[in-house]
Amino acid sequence: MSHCFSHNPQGVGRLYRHVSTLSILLATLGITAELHAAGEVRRSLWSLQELGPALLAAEPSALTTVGIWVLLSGPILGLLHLVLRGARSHSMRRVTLSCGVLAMVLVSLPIKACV
Amino acid sequence: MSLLLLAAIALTGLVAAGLGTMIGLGGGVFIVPVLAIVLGVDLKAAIAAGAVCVVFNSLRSSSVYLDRGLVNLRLAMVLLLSTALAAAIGGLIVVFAPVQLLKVVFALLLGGVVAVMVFGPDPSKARREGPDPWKLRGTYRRVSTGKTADYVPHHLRTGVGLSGVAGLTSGMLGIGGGAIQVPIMNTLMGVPLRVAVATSTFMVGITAVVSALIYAGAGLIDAAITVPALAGVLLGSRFGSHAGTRVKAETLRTFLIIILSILAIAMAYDGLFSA
Repeated sequence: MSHCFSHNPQGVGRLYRHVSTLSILLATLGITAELHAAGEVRRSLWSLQELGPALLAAEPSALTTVGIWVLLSGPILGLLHLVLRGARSHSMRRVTLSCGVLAMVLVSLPIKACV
Repeated sequence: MSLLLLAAIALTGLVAAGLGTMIGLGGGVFIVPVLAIVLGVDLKAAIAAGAVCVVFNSLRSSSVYLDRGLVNLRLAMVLLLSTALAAAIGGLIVVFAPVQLLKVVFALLLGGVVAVMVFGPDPSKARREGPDPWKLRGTYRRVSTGKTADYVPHHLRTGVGLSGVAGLTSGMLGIGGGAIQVPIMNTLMGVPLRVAVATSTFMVGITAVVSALIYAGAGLIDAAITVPALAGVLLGSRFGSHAGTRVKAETLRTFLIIILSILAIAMAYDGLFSA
């Protein structure tokens, strides 16, 4: 698929593998530590504002939240990678398409403030 | 939440991802109804967990497809413009819609998947010629001959429009939407089946993350449900990819049609008649 927008797609594949492995490790470690320490699991995720202090306080559930956020960041990082690759190879169409999709994904972040 | 329930959720993820991988549907279409109907998890929390599992499964599977050069990234990006937007709308519907309505919609979707499995079209052959204004032409290696061949996706506008339906379904129900996306690409657009599956697998991760971010913002992601399900999905997808080659395809298909039909009826009954 040489002429099909696939300039180094292995870069995205490698990124996806690392992100998914890291996320499941963090989330599983967090939930295991929670069960070991408290015997129960905090059900809601920490908000991004609370996450830093919770991590500093060595709260195991914060690790679970980080694992889930790392996972959700995977596709966003993949799109960013494609945008940067497109920019390096001066392919405006590639950059425009990837930026369009990235914008759609990022729009869902502020939506949370409205709901 | 008891250890037993956490183990049951992990087992659900394992079986759902195993079955889903064996038949190429992904796990979401099983995880969400089993969590809601069998384990009594709140449907919105089950949908949110399903979406996070879809993201995870997509990252794992599409990393392999990307390495093999099977994903048509430009086609994925064009289709994602409508799919991602529709997934955001679907995610918002989940936040605001009553659970009973979502159950009925999910039951209809399960019925649709069963109908496609029973009456669906056979895989179409790749189309090799035709106009290509968006430069979406790709090449792939044929399994039967080992030779590379060209293909040109057709009916782009219709494909983009219908992909929005896949995105809306994914956003509303916490499933990948591959069951809709693959036939759109293969049957309508003439993309080879292997490329359609690989491109759809890549797309569903991005589609699901749109709705998952909305669920996260609305506080619908329950770590106690999501993380055990993820662990189960990790093991189940490995098991499914190995077992899929050893089980007779027709036996597996019949078994899944029965399971999905039961889940559809149970979900519809719950949505229409439970308080």
